[in-house]
Amino acid sequence: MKAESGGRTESQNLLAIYGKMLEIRYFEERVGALWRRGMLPGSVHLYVGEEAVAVGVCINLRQDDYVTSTHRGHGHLLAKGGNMSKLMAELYGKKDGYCRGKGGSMHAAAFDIRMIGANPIVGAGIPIAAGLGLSIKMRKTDQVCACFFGDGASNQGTFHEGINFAAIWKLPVVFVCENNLYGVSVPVSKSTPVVDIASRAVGYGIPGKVVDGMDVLAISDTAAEAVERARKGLGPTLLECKTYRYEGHSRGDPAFGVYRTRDEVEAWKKRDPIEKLRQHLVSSGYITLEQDQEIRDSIASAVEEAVRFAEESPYPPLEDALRDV
Amino acid sequence: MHRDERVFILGEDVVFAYTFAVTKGLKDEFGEERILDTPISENGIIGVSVGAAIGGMKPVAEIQFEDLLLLAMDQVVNQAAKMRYMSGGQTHVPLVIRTPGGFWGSFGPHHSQNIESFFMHTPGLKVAVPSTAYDAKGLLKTAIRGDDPVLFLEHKRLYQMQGEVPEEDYTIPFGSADVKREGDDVTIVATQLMVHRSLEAARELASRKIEVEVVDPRTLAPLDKKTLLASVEKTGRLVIVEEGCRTAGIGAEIAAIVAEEGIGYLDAPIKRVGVPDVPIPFSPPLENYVIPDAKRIVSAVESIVR
Amino acid sequence: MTEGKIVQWLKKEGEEVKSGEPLLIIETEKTEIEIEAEVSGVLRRILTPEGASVPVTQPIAIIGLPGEALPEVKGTARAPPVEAPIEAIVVAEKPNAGQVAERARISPRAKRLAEKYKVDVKRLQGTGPDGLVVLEDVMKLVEPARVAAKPKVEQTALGSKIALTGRRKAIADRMAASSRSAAAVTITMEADVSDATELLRKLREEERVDTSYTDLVARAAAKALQEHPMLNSVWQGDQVLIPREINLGIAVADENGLIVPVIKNAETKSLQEIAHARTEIVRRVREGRLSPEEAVGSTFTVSNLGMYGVGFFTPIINFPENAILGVGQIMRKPVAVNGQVSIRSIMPLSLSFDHRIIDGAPAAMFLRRLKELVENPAQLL
Repeated sequence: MKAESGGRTESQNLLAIYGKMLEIRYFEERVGALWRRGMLPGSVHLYVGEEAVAVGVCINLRQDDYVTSTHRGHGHLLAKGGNMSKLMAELYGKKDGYCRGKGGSMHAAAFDIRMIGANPIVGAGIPIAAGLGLSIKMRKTDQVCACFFGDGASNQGTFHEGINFAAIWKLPVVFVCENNLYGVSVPVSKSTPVVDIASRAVGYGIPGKVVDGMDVLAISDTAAEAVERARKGLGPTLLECKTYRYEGHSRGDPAFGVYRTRDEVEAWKKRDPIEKLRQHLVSSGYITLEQDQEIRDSIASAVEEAVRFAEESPYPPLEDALRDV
Repeated sequence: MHRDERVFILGEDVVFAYTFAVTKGLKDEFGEERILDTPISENGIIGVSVGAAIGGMKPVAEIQFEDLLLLAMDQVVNQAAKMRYMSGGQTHVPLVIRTPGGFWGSFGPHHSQNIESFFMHTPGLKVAVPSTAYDAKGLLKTAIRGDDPVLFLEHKRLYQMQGEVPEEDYTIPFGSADVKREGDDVTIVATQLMVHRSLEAARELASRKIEVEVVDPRTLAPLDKKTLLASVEKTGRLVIVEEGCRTAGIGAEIAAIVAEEGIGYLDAPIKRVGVPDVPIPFSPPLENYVIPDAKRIVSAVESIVR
Repeated sequence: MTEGKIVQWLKKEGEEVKSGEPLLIIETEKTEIEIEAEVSGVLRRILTPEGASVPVTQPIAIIGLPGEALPEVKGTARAPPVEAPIEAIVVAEKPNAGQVAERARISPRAKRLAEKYKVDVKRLQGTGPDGLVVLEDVMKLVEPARVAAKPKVEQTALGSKIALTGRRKAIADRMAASSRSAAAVTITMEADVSDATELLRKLREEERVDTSYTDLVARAAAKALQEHPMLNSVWQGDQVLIPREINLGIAVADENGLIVPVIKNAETKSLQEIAHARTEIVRRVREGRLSPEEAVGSTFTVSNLGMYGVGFFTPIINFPENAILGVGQIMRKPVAVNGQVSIRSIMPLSLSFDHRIIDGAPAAMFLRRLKELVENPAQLL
């Protein structure tokens, strides 16, 4: 992988990646547990297992680059540099959440870091990402936009329309398809006639690349190229990360037993990206086992801090329901 | 566009402007960087516009026919109209969507609709419905200078209508109705082309000694309730004329407002004149039958005056 | 496209024409287009010359064979489509015809008035749509001095005979009732309106508000009545009510006789607002469209006969009120001001009041206050 990235040394980079993935993993697991206990209203869609994708891409982004997301957006928000407390408060529907409780899990947005929001309309973020790319081009800056979407979205009309726009106008967008093999319960083999969604890039005249979604460094390298391409004004790229979610589609959906087998889940877990990186870091001497434990403990307590913040935050006043229309 | 370089136009055929010629010539003035021809991709056009808007530009998107806006409903209703709210005020969407609507003459059910009520019903979306050239200029400027999504509905038949338009810069605020004709006997509330048909009816009614007041809301969202209620207070009678389908049309909302807030003013039942609940037919006699004309308006007014 | 203009004929009468050849140029709403001949032959006759506009489907030329007899071609377009009956749609737009529920028998506006004046709604015949009882129906019982109804004049050998009906009768009845019951007294005063004249002129010019002496007096009356509420009282049966609102009746003469439209809540209105209200109702009286509610409910009336040259007079109290102010013609007169003779504008004021309820002293104090206000009009803005 790149020796330096974003002004960091290689080791700083690796640790940043590792820490961010852990943050997402712990955050999401905690959110899952809270939901089971009835602490969170509505539904949540957990990113557990897919951390490498968000982190691998976002590590190559600047603060002023844009990110559009999906219903499974916590990972993207945190990977882009979001604040766990404000996100947790938003999931609780509290006033101090990113969206003052108005958006919730599926619409959580952090505009200060240009993360323009989770979006439960499948595929809706794709043309919006193209639009952000258009604004970048018109304002003549060298920002880029990373657009995350799933295998399911690749069959929506907006996939076609949005990528088409970005392709004809050479917009600085990196389209990242998180192919976790299932659109809710429907396996990708039943919904999509091609195995590699990246192969659709040909139809738009843009490069399409397939990456192992459980290898954060591979993702980072590929993403770096795509980001560079976009920044140079050469146009969009379609990246497909083959990944897997350990949990069900949403919290009410079981991880396996209905449309997935336990064996399948276990097989993917054996390729866990965080574990993979951990082994690499320890064996290459970047960190010791004790340091690793320290890192994990500090992240775990940061997550607890976020939960405490969220629980102490008040609900928004009722008049807020009528504001900001 | 001269005033603010963030403003740009995108849409199908906006460069050569073949269909209704509204953007004709603009490419020569502003260049292809600001007048963008798009593929046929309505949902994509609006989605891209939303992205451009939150990215700091001020897009003016053209959808070739109001009917086609239905292809973009998700981006209009779920995305553009709700972003400010859903993000808790972190962002806003300064987007103007212009589209020709209403009937022209045998354009058929998919190119003749007036679905202003769908959008009046959408929170977070402003809806402008100018009926004169003067109003159109003022309202469009307000729309473009604003910070929030606006649907600017242009009636196809009004493109040919000429009127006085001052050269200088002026804006018309949203939520400000215009009394196009004063009268003491009956209030007619109408939008777009129906304003003119109501004025035609008013002339006929005047010869029958009934003086009609024609109130043009100019924007459906926000709606100028004050002017509307003051007029009904004066006349005691209300007829709403719309080119949309009667059931749950704008007339239903306006009638409800008056029934709730001005029941004591009413000296007669409220009447609504609209298209019956059918798609717009192709054949000219059928089409003219369903679109309200001056005769039907006269008839409706007379039915509540005597 | 509904109409086109002939820009140029590319062939002359008598010239040969081949199918597919350009024949003429027309101008549509958008642009100019070339039209080709659809058949071959000779252009026998041009029916529509260059520069003329014709509706679509009207024949513009005849192409035929040389020597062929030409038909008489009239330049009419196809017959317009048969007018479809609109009744079917109109029926859908009518409320349930004939099925007006008991509760919906009366319009909300009429109901409000009926309740205010304690009119028994069941006695009413509805003249509105589907037999709805409307405002006018209630008004017939509340205020017989209707806006319409010209007096019936019959020509006889001896002269014109006027029947005492409609509004004339209502006026007659009211005048009689007032004279019969009230112990009417009229007191008079002169007011120096020289300063007021200047003020009104300024208002008319600078603020373009059409403010008249009537408005000035009305405003002064409203203010003075607030300080002397007895003069604002009205009879209700055999009791006297002193209402909080000051509703000024302004006597107006129209072609059908006297009518007294009302400026409601004059106590809340500025001089400009009173002027505006007066202008509005007088306009509506002149146009014959004063709404019935606007002619009821006055608590004090002002009658200005100044424009006819009248000075002091004895106005009849507008029953059920207890006082009425008459205003006469303003005359330029010599007056003593600070020991000097000065020419001033003098307005005669005549106040009639019902001595059963109002004594001379309170009436005089009211009139004096009113005079004060009219003479120092700055306070009235």
